[in-house]
Amino acid sequence: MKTDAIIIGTELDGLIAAIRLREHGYSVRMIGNGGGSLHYAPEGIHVLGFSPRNDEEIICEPLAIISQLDQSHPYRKVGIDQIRNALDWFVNISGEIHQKITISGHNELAVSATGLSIPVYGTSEHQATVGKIGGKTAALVRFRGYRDFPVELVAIELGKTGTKTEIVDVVAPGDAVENAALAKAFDELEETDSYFTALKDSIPSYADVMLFPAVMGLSNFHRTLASAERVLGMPCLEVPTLPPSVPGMRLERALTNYLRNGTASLHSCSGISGSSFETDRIVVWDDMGRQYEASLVIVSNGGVLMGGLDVDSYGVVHETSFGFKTYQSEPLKPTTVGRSLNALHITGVETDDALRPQRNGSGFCRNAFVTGRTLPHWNPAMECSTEGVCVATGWAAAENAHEYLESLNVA
Amino acid sequence: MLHSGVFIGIDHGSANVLGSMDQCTKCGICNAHCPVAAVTREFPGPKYCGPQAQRFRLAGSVPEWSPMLCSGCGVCTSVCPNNVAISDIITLAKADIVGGGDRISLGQRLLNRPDLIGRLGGKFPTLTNTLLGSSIVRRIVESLFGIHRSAPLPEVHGRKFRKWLASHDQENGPIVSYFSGCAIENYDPDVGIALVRLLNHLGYKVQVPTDRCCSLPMLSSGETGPARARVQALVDALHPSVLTGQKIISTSTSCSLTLRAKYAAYLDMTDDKSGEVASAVVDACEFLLDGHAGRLRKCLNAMPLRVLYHGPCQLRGHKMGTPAVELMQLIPEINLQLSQADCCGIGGTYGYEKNKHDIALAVGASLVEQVRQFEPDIIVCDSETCRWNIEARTSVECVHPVQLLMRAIDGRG
Repeated sequence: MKTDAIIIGTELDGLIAAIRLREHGYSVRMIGNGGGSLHYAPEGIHVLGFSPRNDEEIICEPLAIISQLDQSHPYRKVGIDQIRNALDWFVNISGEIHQKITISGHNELAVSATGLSIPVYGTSEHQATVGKIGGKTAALVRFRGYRDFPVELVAIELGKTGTKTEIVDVVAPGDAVENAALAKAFDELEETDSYFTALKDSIPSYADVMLFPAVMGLSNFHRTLASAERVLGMPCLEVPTLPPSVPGMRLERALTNYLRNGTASLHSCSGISGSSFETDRIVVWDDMGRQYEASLVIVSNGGVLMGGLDVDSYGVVHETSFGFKTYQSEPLKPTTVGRSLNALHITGVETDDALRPQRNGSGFCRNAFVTGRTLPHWNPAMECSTEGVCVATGWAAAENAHEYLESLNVA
Repeated sequence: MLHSGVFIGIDHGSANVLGSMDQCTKCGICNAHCPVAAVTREFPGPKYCGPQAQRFRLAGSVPEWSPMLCSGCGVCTSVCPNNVAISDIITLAKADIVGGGDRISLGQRLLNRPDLIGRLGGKFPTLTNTLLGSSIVRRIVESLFGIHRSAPLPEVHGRKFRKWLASHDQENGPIVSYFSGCAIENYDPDVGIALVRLLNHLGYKVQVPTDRCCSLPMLSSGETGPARARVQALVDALHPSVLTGQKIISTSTSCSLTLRAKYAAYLDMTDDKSGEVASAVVDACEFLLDGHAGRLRKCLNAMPLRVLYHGPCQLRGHKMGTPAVELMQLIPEINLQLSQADCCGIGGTYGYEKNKHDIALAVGASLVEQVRQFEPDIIVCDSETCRWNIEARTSVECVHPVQLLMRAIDGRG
């Protein structure tokens, strides 16, 4: 069963690459091992929130400082033009298949799961940002029995940014107590209007914005939030919760459904047990012994966080699918990693500017590309740049793969 | 080449299953995807019920009953970023709770023997179907055996598939084995007939080495004691075909997953013979897609129908993607929509039990809703209990992918 491309991993970057390759007309097979790191992603497109050199320096215009980043940073490899193209493309596709994303050219401050202000480049309609709630009085919803949202902490932190909050106790539909279960209960709520009407009396009359934990539905959240705004007569926004993140799951759902219906093959939960790597042909075996062949491979398996990179007992980092050459700043021993999480983040598969990795001392592969968290020299946690890097590198890898596949056709 | 060539069936005994609990990082992604935990608080979710509670079970604590509420759909295992065999851990816990079958209800014992029921009922199919179609009888069955009165019991068909096969002429060609299983032999003969005709069409000669049951209902409800001898007899019956190099094709994703991976996980059958049988088993759609897509494309007639495909839960355990979808996309003019539901709710024999029926209904609600909105002409699903459940709940005909393909070949769109 041969396809043009095999994508290892179902991370955001891999999904982006797959959709882009499908748009170019190529056949794609995705082989992913488990739930992707979108389960940890709050709402919004974080492009670059803090300076990689000084994590206390908030970045206002991320695209303006790309050229000042180190040469090895993934953004420098992709280049500013491709980053712009990738983000524009992503905003478009998100608008078509998921939700509208607004990009104003500078970072907004989004409210985090603990109420802190986090710089974010692209925001969605119902995402709580300091710009939308600053100076207002917010009714902050606490669902009875639900644990994954530290309401009091959010209230305290919002107070520091000038938002007054009043905590409102509310009974959620169903009897769920966890993020996704609660979201599904909202999806299945038939009479959303009457649910919010019943809630109306408990909301203080002086509130001018509603803040819900971001669990207002997995697939029907548009409907539910629109109903809430209609009935309650004020903006209804969502604040991220502790993981697993419902907004991240929504995005993953939207992208995978779009791919599935677009005839890509998705093999969720297959690991790679082996591979044969030749210059014009790649064969991989999954962990059930099935064999798949492709002209090229894109590795988007989520780095150390999602098991795409493994650390051995000597503290040496290995790429688990193909044995690509990796970069690390120091041995990753349990005793030292605790002191410097940065070392864990900035490790990854070393590539050239076209995101192509190296194998066993040979040159850079022509038919392999690496994306997202599997790339080294960036720290998603510190920079607050996860979605930006994933979208940019996933898109760039697909463009570079397109160029390579075209060269094969010409030959 | 790095390829190790080791199949999952060979090196994944119960010790590996239980050992995987230490890889759990408590990320909670499994709980977020569990269809049962989403509808009932009785079930604490796979994270607590699986790797977390397993530590206490190892320490010999008093067993608690929550594993019995797991439907075994396996979505937890498939979304785990750290390869914890969550669903298998829970299933092994079930076997401990019921003492390998010593403490299991009479109703569950009956449900665990679909081959026996089918054979007994199949002696007088009309009588059996009339009786089981009567609401009074179903009430009595419910109170005696705890099998819910509106659970989707299939009709029995006697030995229709066997009889058809005996009178069916096949031309010579490469031989493949078909593992029909108890469902085709007793309840759903048309799927077997469609597969044999389809394979004949592609030039294969089909032999059916055994009519034994794979014993999945026993294994998934913890009745491992009686299952062992049955499973060994099945492996013995299939092995001669495997020795001649034949693939063993299955039209049931649940039977084939059991054959491929579960004898090792639940019964520690990690010997060479079981491993060889496990490695030879292949899903019908996967077999058809691999190397036959080109030929199929040429003989499929247009089928301008609205088709909803629901991939059964076991597809995730097979890790093979959705070969049925790739096959159906070869049919011209088909209007194919994919199910958004994680699970139809029935969970094999799970939703048949009186005390779990409501949970099963709630789990399957989103699928029923999608059917209501899409209004398909036909629903396609690879697993038999799912098909019976979906058909009973939606009143829309539900067939196996090979049946749809065969209809497209026959031009019966």
